[in-house]
Amino acid sequence: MTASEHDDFRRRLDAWPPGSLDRLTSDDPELRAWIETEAGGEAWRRHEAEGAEIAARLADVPVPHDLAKRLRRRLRDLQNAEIANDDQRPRPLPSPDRPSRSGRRQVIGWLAASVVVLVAGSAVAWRFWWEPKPTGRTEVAQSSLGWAALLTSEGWQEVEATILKRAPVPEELGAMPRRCAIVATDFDRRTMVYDLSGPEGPLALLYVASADRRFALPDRFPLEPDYTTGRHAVGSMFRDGRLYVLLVEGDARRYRESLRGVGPLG
Amino acid sequence: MLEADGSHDFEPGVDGGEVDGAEAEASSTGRAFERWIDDHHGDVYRYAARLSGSPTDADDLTQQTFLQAWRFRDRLESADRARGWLLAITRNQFLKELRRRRPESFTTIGLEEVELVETRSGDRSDDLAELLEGLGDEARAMLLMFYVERLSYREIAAELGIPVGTVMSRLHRAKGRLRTDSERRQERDERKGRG
Repeated sequence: MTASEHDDFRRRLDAWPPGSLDRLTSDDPELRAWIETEAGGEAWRRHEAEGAEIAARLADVPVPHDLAKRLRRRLRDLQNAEIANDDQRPRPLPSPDRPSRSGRRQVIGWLAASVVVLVAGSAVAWRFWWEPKPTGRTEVAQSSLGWAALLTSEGWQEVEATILKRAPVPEELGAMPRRCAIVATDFDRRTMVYDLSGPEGPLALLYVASADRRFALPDRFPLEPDYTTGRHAVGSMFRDGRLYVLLVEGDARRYRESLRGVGPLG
Repeated sequence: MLEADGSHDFEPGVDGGEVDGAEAEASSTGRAFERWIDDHHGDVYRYAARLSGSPTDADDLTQQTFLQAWRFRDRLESADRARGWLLAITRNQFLKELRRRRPESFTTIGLEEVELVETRSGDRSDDLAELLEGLGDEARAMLLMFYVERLSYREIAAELGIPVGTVMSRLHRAKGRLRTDSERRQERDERKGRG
């Protein structure tokens, strides 16, 4: 076998995930046969070792200790909702010691309308009892850095009183927005963004999102930014059902000045 | 099934009265699903955490995954495939959310996405998390489909509806970065060992 043929097999091997030796027998017998050679065997062992190391690193994530308990609680809520809403027999899960349900399902004959009611009821129940963890400053900061990219130069409009009523600017900022725009963010599809920059000063944007989720945030802007990126500083707060994110061009000092009304907002 | 506090966490029958056939089957189904939760919630959460890069999103994604699994539980014909099925639901939920969030077109106004630098303690992400984030959402999803779901290039292409060549080129780059990172880690560990 030539060197280029070996290289070709190595490339083909690259397309298979670790632990797929059995599948190769049926899916790529030629490659499987190459693995039986000395060069192929060596390549396969390296491939497996590398894959195992990467998979182990990827799996190195702490799991919340109460996650299973919370999931089981949601399941019970769902089940109770189903029993209360529907007197049909529930759908069992497949199990190794149980025959496939597909045949029996045909005999029983689910009524489509009942399924819709069942699914809708389950979704409502899940939604009602679902208690996602509150969103923290990390998620808000990471998300907000991408929001600026949603703005277009044509999207700005005049700030009107009705807009300020719907999405008020916190008084402590002591700034009057020059213009505003609406962007879709992770938290509100109609997030208001105010441009608080001075005429020639560095950029300062205030996002106001009406949020229907919980946030683990203070009800005032932090005196120090939650994050700085080297070029920008971000701080966030949650007040009166609204998420506020202040994004300032500059460092932490510029952020602090903005809050005191002497920086770009002043 | 017993809770950590010793109490039964599933009681058949709504009001404690006589259990009829339907409720008994509901109980059996519920217990089987609870076993799925116990067996697979860790894998699902870890996958969700690597996909999303955020513990909060991972928590939400895990809950969505088990909700979907419960809703469509009759679609799974073999319990042996539960793990792969749950991971596929997790990935599909993540990609669906990604498409929903992504704007159709936009222009920047001078801001650029740069690496976050913390100004307070806590929330430090590990090197691998940073590397995965740097790959971008789609390449990261492909990489995880390969190493966690153990799908071949061809299967990834079929799942995502893209050419195999695209999967090949994206994963070639992503794997290269992972390899370099692993080599650096090894060198660092060796230096520490010598020191």
